[in-house]
Amino acid sequence: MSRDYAAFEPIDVPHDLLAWIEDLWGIPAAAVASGNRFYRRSGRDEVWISHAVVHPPIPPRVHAIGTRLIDRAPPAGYPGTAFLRRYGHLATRRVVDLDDAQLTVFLSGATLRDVPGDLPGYHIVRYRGATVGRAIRRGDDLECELPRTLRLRAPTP
Amino acid sequence: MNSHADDPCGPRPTHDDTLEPTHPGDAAGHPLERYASIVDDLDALIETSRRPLPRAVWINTLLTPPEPIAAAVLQRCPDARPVPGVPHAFRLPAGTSPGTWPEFALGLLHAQEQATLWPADLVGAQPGERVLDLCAAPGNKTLRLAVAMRDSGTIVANERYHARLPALRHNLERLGVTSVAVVDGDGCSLPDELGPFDRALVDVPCTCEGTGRKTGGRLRATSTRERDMMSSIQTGLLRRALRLVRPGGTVVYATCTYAPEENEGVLDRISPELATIEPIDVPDGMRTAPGVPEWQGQRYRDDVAHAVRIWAHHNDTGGFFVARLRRL
Repeated sequence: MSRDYAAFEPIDVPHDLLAWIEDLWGIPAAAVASGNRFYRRSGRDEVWISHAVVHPPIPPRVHAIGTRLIDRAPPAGYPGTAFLRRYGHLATRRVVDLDDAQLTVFLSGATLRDVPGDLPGYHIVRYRGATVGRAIRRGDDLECELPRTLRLRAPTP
Repeated sequence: MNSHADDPCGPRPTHDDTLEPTHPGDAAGHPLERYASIVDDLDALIETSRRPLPRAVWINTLLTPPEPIAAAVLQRCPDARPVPGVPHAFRLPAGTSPGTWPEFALGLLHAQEQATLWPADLVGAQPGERVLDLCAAPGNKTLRLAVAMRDSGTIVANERYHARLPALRHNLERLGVTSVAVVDGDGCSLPDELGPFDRALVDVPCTCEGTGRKTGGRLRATSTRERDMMSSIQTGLLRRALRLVRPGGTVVYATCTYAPEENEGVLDRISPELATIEPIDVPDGMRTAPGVPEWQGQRYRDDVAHAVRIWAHHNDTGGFFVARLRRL
């Protein structure tokens, strides 16, 4: 196996990680595991999820296989936006559905005010069924955790 | 032996190999005038090439049913019109900025030049297959492949130039695609172990004459030497793709330039024993022209006539060339 390919090592289905995600957001572990393969990036705690199969050895350097599921082991790490865009529609708890005005605010990267909820921690933010990204609840506020590259500038008045 | 002897693609163009940019209407003549003998209406081509390019968007059906997003597109841009032959795609007037729409930020829409939509679909990628995108960045056609495959199977997206990788990965992540492995090999020498593939898309680097409308009609005159270098690279890429697909597999070759040296001339350098060039069914409502059988005294293999040319004035788009080959 080439040194470059070793950057992504195939791993078994990370049942504990998927169970943690199911407990957090209600995204069924079986739905995430179905048809997918999982890879760990050497030297990091990242776990990647992909339908793709690539067989070693691969002389070109592999930069990505599918999308990153998590960048660090929980509880320090949380699933990222790319994963949530694919599977966030399956979430059943810690979900906030935005209206048009709230979407504009959230996409700008600003904090959503006065959004009451019962559960603390990381929430999945959706708009008309599509996952926008992740937010963290602080009281009645939801702080945007959308990557800067996915944000939209607020419209010019 | 020259310094490029070990490069299967041959010498690479450098800035010194190119001429300086020229504006349409310069005293030296318009760069597209060299195609007077193979285009049906040169004046219309040049006039169209000076106009701003209309935009196009398509719906990411991996993340959403198409109907609500189609309604949103028509609400935001009442002048949007369906793109012939491409489901869930809309043509937008020049100057429209779909990148500022929330649906774009959510990955439910993707913007792509209209002329490049249909050629990616010609690959015919199916769910569960292994597909190679040999020159993938910024990923527009990779995304089309992933949607056609319902994000099921394996797409190897190769991009030699590291500076172009972030755009490729960003687009894949924005649209929630998980079936793509991104690698950074030299497309002319990707190892056999990466294959075999069922299909491949070879959208090669080229002199880009068909994309001038994106830059306000500014076209760069290209030298014979640059075209020769490009065709050498393009031939190396196409040959490599054909070796990486299984016998019976499909390879789609595409450029965004009009130069026969980079289009039919490249196809002509493929051995007829290695691959045939297949006829292509053109969608209703789309106007195209066949590949040209000869250029500047050189006669090409007969089946280059099965290739398709998209001249800018035919559909008010950019220019494009596409051929579908089947490995024997």
